[in-house]
Amino acid sequence: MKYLIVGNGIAACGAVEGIRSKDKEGGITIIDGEKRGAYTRPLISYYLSDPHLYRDINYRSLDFFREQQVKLIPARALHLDPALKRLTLDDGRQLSYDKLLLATGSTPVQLPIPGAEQAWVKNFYTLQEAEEIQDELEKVQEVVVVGSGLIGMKAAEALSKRGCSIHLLEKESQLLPRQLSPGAARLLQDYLSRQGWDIILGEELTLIHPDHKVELNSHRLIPADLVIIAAGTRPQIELAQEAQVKVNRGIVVDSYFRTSDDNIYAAGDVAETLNIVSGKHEVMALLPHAHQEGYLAGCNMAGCNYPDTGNILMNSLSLLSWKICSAGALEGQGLEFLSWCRKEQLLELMIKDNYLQGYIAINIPEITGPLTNTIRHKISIPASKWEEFIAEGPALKHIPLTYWQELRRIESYGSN
Amino acid sequence: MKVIAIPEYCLGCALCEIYCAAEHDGYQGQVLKAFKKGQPEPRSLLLVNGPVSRLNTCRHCDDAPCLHGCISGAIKRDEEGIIHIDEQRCVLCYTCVMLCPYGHVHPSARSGRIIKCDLCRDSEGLPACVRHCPNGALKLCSGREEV
Ligand SMILES: Cc1cc2nc3c(=O)[nH]c(=O)nc-3n(C[C@H](O)[C@H](O)[C@H](O)COP(=O)(O)OP(=O)(O)OC[C@H]3O[C@@H](n4cnc5c(N)ncnc54)[C@H](O)[C@@H]3O)c2cc1C
Ligand code: SF4
Ligand code: SF4
Repeated sequence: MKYLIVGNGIAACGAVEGIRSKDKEGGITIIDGEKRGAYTRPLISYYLSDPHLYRDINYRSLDFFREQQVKLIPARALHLDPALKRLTLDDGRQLSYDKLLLATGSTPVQLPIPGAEQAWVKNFYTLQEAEEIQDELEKVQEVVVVGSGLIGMKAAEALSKRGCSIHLLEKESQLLPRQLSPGAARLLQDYLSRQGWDIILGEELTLIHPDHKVELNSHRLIPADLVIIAAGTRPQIELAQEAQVKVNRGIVVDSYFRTSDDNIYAAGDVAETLNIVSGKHEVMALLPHAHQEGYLAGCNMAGCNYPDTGNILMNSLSLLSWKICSAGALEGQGLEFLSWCRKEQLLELMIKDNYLQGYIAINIPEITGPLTNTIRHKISIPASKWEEFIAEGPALKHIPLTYWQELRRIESYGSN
Repeated sequence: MKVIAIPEYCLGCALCEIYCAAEHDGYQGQVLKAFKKGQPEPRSLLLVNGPVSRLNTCRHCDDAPCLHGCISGAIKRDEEGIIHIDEQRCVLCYTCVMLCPYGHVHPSARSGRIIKCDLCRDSEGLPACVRHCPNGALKLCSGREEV
């Protein structure tokens, strides 16, 4: 069996582990488009905050690939021909396969802003971009970060740790619009403002002047030695599209991660998988999902039939000294909200018909595991039990008993 | 392999926590040294709710959410199936914490660093909690055995 994996990121590593759990012999080749080895993308902000401490941000080392007998090819895949089962690389090489995995991840969305082509306007998505910023940092004081999603926040954090002045621009009326409620976002905003961040909400960037200034739609001008555009990401579906593999926003896969072509699989940021809360197939660009999906896809490419049971949106963001966890659906019809707040701690629960649908937990991470899994496993617990949980002061020991009982019934975590 | 807690036998004395902390961070099981002079950090915590108590242990899951989720590659599984943390690599993102169904892997109340049960893989014999529970409420089991 010849396995070919396009992209050398998180899902690719999961796939190697999945394939090798079943097939020790088959040849595995990975096309490493970034030519940087399998590094941990979320750690680029840690690298930027302290390049010495985080000089090694490998997700899996070269030893790992050697032990797993994986051949790495530093090149980009240009063209996929499913009929001939052939992949063409940018160095002209052609490779054949029996099973192919598209693990090509996401890429930043570009904003059509005049001036965005200048060298001091950057995305923050690859190690190379982080290194370029690091190389220029001596000349940088004023930084404008466009977008207060997770990536923008982590970029801003790293640069503030390096002593830069942060201007954080968000076109919505709150920070982290996809991760936080307005109330939770205000709490975070107060904290970041106290740390000296200049937070600008409800405004968009309209122009980047060559003389190191950016202009907003209110015509306000902000000085900028560096602009970071973090306005969202989109799946890299071009190879699939061109090969006539079925795509929506991401690549369409069945519950075994097979695409519309039987020999082509897709996993990670690039694939649309089941969101348990919404019941729809969506792009959920998150690292834990990428590893798990890659693992299952790898097992299935090697002959297993392990179905995906779906996932939920979830994120744990550590920002300066704050810990911000959120998961599931934060808004929607018929949701009942419970909330608890004490100084810099906050908990909000979103419940619908005895089912926890989402939560936001600021600076209270120790209770979040059971909350995430109540949503993930659709464990039915009435709102009144959650009211008691909150009234007693949210703590692990007060998680409703039903949760632990149900958990015992859930086989999948098993043990070895 | 995992340690199973039997709530019916547990008296809530918390000796498991004490011996767990003393088995780690180089205290080599010396309880007095750990608690009088050191910074003890138990890996598993006793959950006490009214009369019911049990040690909240790690299941060393087959399909371990913490392992899939670790954003730095710090969480690993060894040859014996023990899920453990390479603290040098941990960046304190707390993703594992929000994924663990048992609320087991957690930030230490003392230092904020992420800690979990490693079945005392660096010492000989049974895990310290099992060895020291006076009531037989903790048991090391392998396979899919559940209590
Ligand atoms: C700053 C930052 C912080 C983040 N923090 C978090 C976090 O805290 N938690 C979280 O869950 N997620 C986080 N993420 C998202 C996380 O990094 C992604 O979800 C994860 O990397 C997805 O894994 P993947 O394998 O699908 O794609 P990737 O890891 O992106 O790997 C895909 C690889 O494929 C390559 N590729 C694409 N096309 C080709 C081609 N044609 N030929 C060859 N190679 C190709 C790409 O260059 C890339 O190297 C963060 C991302 C960033 C940028
Ligand atoms: S820490 Fe939690 S998720 Fe990880 S192996 Fe232990 S019980 Fe499973
Ligand atoms: S807190 Fe540490 S061990 Fe846990 S997921 Fe983050 S990096 Fe991994």
